[in-house]
Amino acid sequence: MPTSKRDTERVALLQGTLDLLILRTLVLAPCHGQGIARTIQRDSEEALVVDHGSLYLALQRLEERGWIAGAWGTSENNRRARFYTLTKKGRAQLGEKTSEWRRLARAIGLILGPEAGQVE
Amino acid sequence: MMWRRRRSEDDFREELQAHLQLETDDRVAEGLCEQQARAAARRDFGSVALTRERHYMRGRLPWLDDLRRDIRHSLALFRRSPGFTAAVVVTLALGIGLNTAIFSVLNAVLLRPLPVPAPDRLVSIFTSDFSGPPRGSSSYPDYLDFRDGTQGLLSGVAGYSLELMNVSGGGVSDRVQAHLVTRSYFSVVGVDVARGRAFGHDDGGGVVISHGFWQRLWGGSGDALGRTIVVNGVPRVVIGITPRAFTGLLRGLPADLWLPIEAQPDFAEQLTSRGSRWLTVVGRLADTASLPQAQAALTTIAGQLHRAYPREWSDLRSSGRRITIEPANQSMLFVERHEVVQFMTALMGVVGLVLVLACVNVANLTLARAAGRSREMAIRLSVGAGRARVVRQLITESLLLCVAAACVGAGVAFGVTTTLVRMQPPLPLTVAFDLSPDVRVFAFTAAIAICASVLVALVPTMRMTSPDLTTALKSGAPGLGNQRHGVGRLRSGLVATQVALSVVLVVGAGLAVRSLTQAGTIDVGFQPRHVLIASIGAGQQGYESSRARQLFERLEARVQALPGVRSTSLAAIVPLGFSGQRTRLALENYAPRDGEDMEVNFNVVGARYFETMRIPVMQGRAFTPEDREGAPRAAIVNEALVRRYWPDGVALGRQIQRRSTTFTVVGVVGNGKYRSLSEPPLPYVYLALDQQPQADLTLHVRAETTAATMAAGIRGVLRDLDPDLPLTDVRTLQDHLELAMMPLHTAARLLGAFGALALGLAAVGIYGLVAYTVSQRTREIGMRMALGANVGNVLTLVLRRGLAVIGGGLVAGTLAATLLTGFVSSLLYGVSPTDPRAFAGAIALLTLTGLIAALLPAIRATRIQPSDALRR
Repeated sequence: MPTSKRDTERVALLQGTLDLLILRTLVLAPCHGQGIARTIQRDSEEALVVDHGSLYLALQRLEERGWIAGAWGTSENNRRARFYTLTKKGRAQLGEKTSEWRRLARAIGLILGPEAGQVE
Repeated sequence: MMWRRRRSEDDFREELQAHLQLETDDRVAEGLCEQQARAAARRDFGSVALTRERHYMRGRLPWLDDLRRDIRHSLALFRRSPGFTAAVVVTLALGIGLNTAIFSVLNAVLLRPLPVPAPDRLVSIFTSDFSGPPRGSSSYPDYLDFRDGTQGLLSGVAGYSLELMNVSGGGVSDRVQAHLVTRSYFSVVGVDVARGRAFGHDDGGGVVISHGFWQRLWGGSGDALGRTIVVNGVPRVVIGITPRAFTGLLRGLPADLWLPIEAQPDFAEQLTSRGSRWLTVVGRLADTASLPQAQAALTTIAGQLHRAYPREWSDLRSSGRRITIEPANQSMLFVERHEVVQFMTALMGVVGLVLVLACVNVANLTLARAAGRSREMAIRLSVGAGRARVVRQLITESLLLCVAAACVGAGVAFGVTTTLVRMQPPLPLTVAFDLSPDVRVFAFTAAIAICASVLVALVPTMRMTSPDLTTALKSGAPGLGNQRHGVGRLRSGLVATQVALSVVLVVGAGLAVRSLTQAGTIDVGFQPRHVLIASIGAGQQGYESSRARQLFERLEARVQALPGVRSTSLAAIVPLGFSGQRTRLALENYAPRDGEDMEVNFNVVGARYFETMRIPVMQGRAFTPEDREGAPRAAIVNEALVRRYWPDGVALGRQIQRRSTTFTVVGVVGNGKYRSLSEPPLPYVYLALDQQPQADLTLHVRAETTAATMAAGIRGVLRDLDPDLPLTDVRTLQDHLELAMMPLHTAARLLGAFGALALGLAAVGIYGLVAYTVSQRTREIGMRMALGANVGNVLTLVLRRGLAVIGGGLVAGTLAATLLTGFVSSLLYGVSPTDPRAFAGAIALLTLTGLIAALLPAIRATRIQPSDALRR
């Protein structure tokens, strides 16, 4: 198993956050589903685990909304794969969703107060 | 988006495969062996199949998919058996159509709100009658007191009265339904006159006409306003035309024109007479007021009026009259609402029964097919179709059939209602109900179609979802094997139900026919056969009284001389018609109680009236030509009047006072029916025509020739006397009586038709059942005959079940009919709802029909050739 974190430290994805993470991942470069899953896992230091089935359904949903565009292509190791690109609409959505998430995170942080270790 | 072109399922599956491949590659790169890597990739992914299914279901309504498939399957089935489908649709369409038609009538009569703005704020205000009924008319002075006493609670009060009037102008002369209304009428009702204006304070000579009358008179031409029409001989200027939808507040009796009461010289006396109750009063609730508040205020007014006018405001028990206020939507004139409700619900019950019968018939047909379909169902169940899924398929089928039937049924309903609209009762009034379908009718039709489809689907559903899978699958021919007995039992039950329902409906028909014959034997107090009546409106044509008298004298003499005429007489009123006259009388030797209604029905008749009508003279004499002007005024009373007011039985020589005139009773005649067939004996007074000259009269002629010859003769005589004077309402007295019989005729016709329909359906059911038995047992019968069974044995074999079913149905039906016919007693007259003759007739008729229907296929069974049967 490539993941080394214990299950308890993993965080279940909040409803709707998967869309945001996918859009964020695609900002850097077009990518296929498996690549997106790996990137999210890696960049979250293995804290977030992406359910693969849900990921593909999310991709389908985002494509239908016109936020990303999918097309078959070839991977680095010469496998056929469906690559997704962020559209203009998707880029705008990313900005919106990011600030929305930041506001939410800040609000929740305020309510929860400083982390346990920082209490004097 | 659901409607955007979707990615194909294959493309999605490919993408998932690509994912697994890439994941495997990565793991191999991390050092796992190919096989382990692949397994790990799969394990990490979870269920590929589940993901695909979730992808497929996304944005879809799974039941919609199923529904589409069910419908496609059902339509294929219908195409395969068009005969069955047609039979089902037609049977159900009859049931649904009849129900829709009767409901349209009920809707028009009871449910449709009045065609005014905010109809729920409009209220009717009634004064209780002297003898008790709470919904009576009010007088004009009362109307003024109601108006002044409810200020703040009612934003306006108005009164109106229906009068028949003659109109000429625009090249036509016509009898019209006029509403005399208070000036406040249009503002209270809330209807704006579409063209022109409503009555103002200086509109004495103005008239508002209805949209329909405008069309009839001038074809809706634009320059109608300002034209003149002559109403009852008085020229009037048309000042307004109402919108098409508004025809007054009387359901079924559309108004042709409106005249302001306050400006009618003929009615001046009525405007000040507190005892003359002739107005229907309506009011509009103020926005802030409620019905109970208004009722409380009016109750107070009733008390005040009782104290102020004890004579006019007392009732039979010398207590004060009451005022009732109720939503105007609910109030009706001439008839009590609860009687109408009773009549309509009885009728709805009967057609409801017809629908149930149609459903049973269809269930039976479906069941006949069930045998053929048990294999289909068994296969579906055995390959894993859920029971619910199979039931859904069956319900879809019957729902589709019912939708089709409802569409055809709408056509049936349309046909029935247009016939009803065209049917005009022999009344001087125009009756018109708005029978066009509205939301309520559509909702009702949809609801009964759904109920019908559930009923139809119920039996085959119970049957088909629990077949014995193995036998059903094994049996080569559809419908053989052990299916027979179960289906057979169910079918027998259904046919017995059909027979039972038919008994109920045929008994109903029998009762209606019996009550019709019963009504035909009612003693109306005169002999209507061979009497022709014809009306002459000389007064309405502008004859003044001496000229009218001259005309009538000559007319009577010349008609009397026509060949075949036995006797002839003029009279003001034809009994059992719509019209009647009442007058307030004072009777010698009788002291009325406070507030007692001394209004008595009366007629003004010629000398030979009693002879012409064959009304028996019990005491004294009939009128003679000597009872003329100048002679002492004579009156003839009926026995009921004597019994009511002069219990000592002495009548001859007693005096009757009407206004300032005194009459002496010269004769007593037998009782009759004057206003309706069901009335109790009413006191009645006849006055002599020569002493009470009238100018609008009806000629009564007893003759031996045919009605047509007689009518032509009278027309000829009148043409000679005055070619411009029209002869109206010419008919035999017997035809005239049809009016009183009309509700009974209608009931008999409807119930008779339903009974015949039920009989037909039951016959088809029984025939089908026995024919089915024969077809199922052809081999067995052949074998028995080969072994020596005779015709009798075979008949017994196939008829046994048919007869048992008929017997069971008859018993159950008779019991049900005993319980149910009380419900239709409002449609009957003079017949007990458990009339033994009607029951016996129905049972005999059904037994006979059943036997014939069962014998036909049974006889065919005896002709089976054993050799043919065994070879099958």
